[in-house]
Amino acid sequence: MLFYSYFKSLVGKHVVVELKNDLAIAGTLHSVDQYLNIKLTNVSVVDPERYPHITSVRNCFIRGSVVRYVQLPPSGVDIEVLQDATRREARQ
Amino acid sequence: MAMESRAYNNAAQSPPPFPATANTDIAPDTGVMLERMPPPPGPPVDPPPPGSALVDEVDKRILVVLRDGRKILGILRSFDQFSNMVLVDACERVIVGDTFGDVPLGSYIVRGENLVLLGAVDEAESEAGPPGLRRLSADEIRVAEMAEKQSNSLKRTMLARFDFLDDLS
Repeated sequence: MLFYSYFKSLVGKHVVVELKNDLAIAGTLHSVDQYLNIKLTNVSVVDPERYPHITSVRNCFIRGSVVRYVQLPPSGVDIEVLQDATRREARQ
Repeated sequence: MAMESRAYNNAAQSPPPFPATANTDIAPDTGVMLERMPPPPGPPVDPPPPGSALVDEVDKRILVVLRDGRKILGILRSFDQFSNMVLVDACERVIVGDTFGDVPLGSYIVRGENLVLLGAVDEAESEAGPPGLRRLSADEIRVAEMAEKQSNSLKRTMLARFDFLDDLS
């Protein structure tokens, strides 16, 4: 549940989600669920020439299993808090 | 913001808790650590049941991108926690070069594992298609798709045939 909680703390931040099919989508993180399915608002595709069809989508749902990376804003990463949470999780 | 700065203060004051407290429940820093994990922003309601993220999209026209690259437009009628979906009035959107077309499919059940992403589309916008692309009829776009497939496979075989050039250089 650690990363689920972590992503929940990132809601509202601007992220870039890179998928396993090399499609990269930028947007504002709207919600995450236990599967790490991601909902983005105000989406834009990093390479719109290759993926013209996504331009007609403003809010999208991305299945967690197809995500390769999530690029985070530097402000969303607090190593101290993450380390503590990790240790707490390991102790349980 | 206040929450965050307090978290940083606590971090500065207390040493890393791991070695000292690994074996005890009444760790002196437990309160601190709880404090340091701020609750996620947003309304403090019960978390939604897992796999219910698609409720907002039900009965809307959505664009579904599948793992094989296909784009399906349809009205979402039902889904489950695996994101299996029932789409009605569905059509496949085929894009070839700077043209596109919709091939009608009827009703589709999509197995969740094949879903990459989906998003609601505006009815008028989906009718107009991606900007800069010209709409063709279903038959025309099928022909164009066929032609593209053939030229791609030809390209592949030619590249394979000229593979020996790599060995020479």
